[in-house]
Amino acid sequence: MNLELLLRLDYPLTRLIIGLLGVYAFVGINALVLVWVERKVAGHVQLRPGPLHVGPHGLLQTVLDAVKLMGKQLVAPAGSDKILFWTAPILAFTPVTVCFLPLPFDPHLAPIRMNLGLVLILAFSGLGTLSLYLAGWGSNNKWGLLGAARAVAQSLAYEVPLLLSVMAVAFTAGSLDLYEISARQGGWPWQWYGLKNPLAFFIFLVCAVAETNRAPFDLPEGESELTAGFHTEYSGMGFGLFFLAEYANMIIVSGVAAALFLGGWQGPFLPGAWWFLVKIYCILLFIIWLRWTYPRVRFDQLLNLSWKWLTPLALLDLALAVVVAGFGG
Amino acid sequence: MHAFDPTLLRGDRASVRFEPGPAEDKLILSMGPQHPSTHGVLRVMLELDGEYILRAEPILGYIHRMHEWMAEQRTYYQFMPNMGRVDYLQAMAWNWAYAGAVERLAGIEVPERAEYIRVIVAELNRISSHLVWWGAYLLDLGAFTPILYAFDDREVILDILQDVTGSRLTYSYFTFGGVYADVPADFAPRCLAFTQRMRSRLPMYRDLVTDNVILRGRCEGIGELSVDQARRYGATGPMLRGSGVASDTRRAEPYGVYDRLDFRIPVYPQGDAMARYLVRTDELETSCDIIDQAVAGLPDGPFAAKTPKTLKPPKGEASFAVEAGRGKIVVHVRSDGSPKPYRVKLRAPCFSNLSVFCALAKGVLLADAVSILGSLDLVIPEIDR
Amino acid sequence: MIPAFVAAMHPVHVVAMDHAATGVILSITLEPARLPDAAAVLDREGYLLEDVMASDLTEGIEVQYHFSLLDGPTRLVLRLIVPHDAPDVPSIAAIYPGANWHECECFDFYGIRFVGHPDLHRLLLPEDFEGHPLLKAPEARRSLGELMPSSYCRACGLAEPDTPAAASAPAVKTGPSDA
Repeated sequence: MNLELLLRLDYPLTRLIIGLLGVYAFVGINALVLVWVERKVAGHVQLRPGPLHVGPHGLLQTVLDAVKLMGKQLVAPAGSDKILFWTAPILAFTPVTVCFLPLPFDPHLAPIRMNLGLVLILAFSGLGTLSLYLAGWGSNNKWGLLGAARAVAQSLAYEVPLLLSVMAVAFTAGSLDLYEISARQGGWPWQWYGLKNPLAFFIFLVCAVAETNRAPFDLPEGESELTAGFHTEYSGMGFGLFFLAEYANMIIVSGVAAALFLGGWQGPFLPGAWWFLVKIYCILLFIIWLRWTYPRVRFDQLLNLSWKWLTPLALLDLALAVVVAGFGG
Repeated sequence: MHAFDPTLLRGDRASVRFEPGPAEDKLILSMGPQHPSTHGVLRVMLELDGEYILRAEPILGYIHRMHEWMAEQRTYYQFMPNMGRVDYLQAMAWNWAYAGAVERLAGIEVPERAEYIRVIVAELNRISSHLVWWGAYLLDLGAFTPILYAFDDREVILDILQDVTGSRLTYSYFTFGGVYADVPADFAPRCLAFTQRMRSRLPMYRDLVTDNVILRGRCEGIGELSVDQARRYGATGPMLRGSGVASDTRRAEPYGVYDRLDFRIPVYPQGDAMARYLVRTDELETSCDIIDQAVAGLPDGPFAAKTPKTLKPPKGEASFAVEAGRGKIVVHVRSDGSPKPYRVKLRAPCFSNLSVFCALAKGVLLADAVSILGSLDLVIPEIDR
Repeated sequence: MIPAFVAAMHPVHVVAMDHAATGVILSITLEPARLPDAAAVLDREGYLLEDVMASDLTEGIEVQYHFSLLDGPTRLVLRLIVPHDAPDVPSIAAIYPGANWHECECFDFYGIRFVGHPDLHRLLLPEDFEGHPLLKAPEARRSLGELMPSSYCRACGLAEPDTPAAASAPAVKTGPSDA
């Protein structure tokens, strides 16, 4: 390995390393900001101010909470499977890195351009569910077990309509590359796939909320039924990693939604990356708003919704998209 | 680091006795005593098949303080503050039940102004108790926001009652023959302003559930209680009224000045959690009606009868029933003519309401069990006393 | 007036009480063995089981069952007394399932053994608690004659009617001056 080669910015490995560092920085800072946004939105929805005192308008609250979490003792319950127990939070966070790589922030800013970006994201987001299962099983705790079982069933159920709705868009755009799909849309709302195929957009949003275990689909974590579900026995940095992974996953699905349905980086006046961020944050705000408004569905109602409603609708949508793409062009 | 010793997990009588049945793959779960939705220190042993409950058995005693023994060690006056701690959310109702029983025993007449004041504060207490129930129930169902809206309204009541009684929660305001102190001058206008505000909020309390398909799915058809079942278990209050029986102690055995006031008794026939929900949200409105009438009719006069410094009721026994937010409270007092009671029995409505849970929870999903528990409106200190 | 179904319970004493002064309309004293049949009679009549309580007296432990209809001032009390050394009472948990927990509580506080109860255990006190706290020390116990008003005692034959005028007094508690 020639060190001079590594320092050249057009060397692929260098670009990859810089991209990875950029991704971690982005994820880290965004997660901090997002937690603050969530607590503020929750507060104002609930007629209270949210974090207010630590830093201006509580901006430093998350930073200090992260420091606090990192300072806590790492405790595993007696009788838990140590390997599974400590692998789970790491496994929750690892796929995040991979899933960020294909997101098209800007024509010139994608860390890696790959022609199967969509498939990569969908494949690696499934690893997140595995981590929930390991956490629930490895905790040696019955509440964790119930949470893990729910996580697997829920994830399985909502993968199918998610994939189908994404397929519909892929057929319309003729590509599985997120960059291509975003490029084929325009900067204005009427050029977006979200308005051309609203059913797919709606199904994708519902499935995205379910895949990231956010309310009203937060059953694996079901606070009021399962104490804390799969992360009952986690405290300190283990819990912190799950927490961070949840917000990172939210950003990923919002990024995918923005790329697939809202025209990606395209938009008037501002450079591409800013529009991408704006669109991501609009979807994130919507997801956060949902959490504090709706109660939780029951588990059988959750599965009913997916298998009896979303999957048939997604299939119908896919068929229509294929027909339109085949004949319309 | 010592090795893990499995004998440490032997468990207590409840978990040892609760052995699984002959079939395999059953999960024995102990819900509580520390659990976000058991409304206090309640422990429920569950036998689950996946998420279906095969058996549910509540285990009590985690907050048992032996109030009935304390009653025998204290004088009649000294025992009154205990009543606020039996059920802190409807302290006024417990105050009234105990004061009423002793007044019956000793033949003490309560002046009219005191009766009206008692009605007003008891109804305010009922509204604040129902608001806590409403917020906590929806929190159990996963809606995080409504509890804060309910507590916002409740703050107004707590402020009014703080100016009247000095406490925000565990009131000890009643005394034998009336109330402990007179109400301040701005009490009546504040109560009327509150009922006006409460009425404007009522559509939200009702429609938040009746208009929401997710919440309706969590409440309708859950925990159906028949009248016969309620009767045999002793379930009273909204449990009976939600099963179609117009049973209310304020009409059946009128106390205070309830016989002079005109109010509706909400009754819903379905018997499920939704019916009980609607009964309690309607009671928010009927309590506002009662408060309006009582404030309008508040007479002048003494706020308490003169009673001797050491109260020695004549020998005998008396019972007094009160319609609290959770059901029928009955306090039995037995006196032997001495300054301390011989026996005080506190009949808590939640005790009987919870005993129906074993029957209601068979064969339901875990999430439904949480919904049923919430619809029973439990306060565990009242069950354990 | 005394309802007709009371006769089917074969009571020892029946005393009509003044609701305004005592909160009950009827006090029925039974032999312990008659209790399940009495409970069955009340179940047929549509009574709700409110409460099962006990009280420690010199004669024994008095167990009281409070029933009422779903409407109206209709509270009645079934009483029975069991001796201290053999506090056995038949259980009515098969007829009124709500009695299950009430009987466990009476066992917990008084040591009364309910025969036929599906699972008699300590309900509120810790499972390894020894003793029954609401039992009184023998010198602190009182007898029914010292606890119930004279009119009740006369009606039940627990006190001798001392004058012809008192013997014909109504079996009703008339007020605090009747001590």
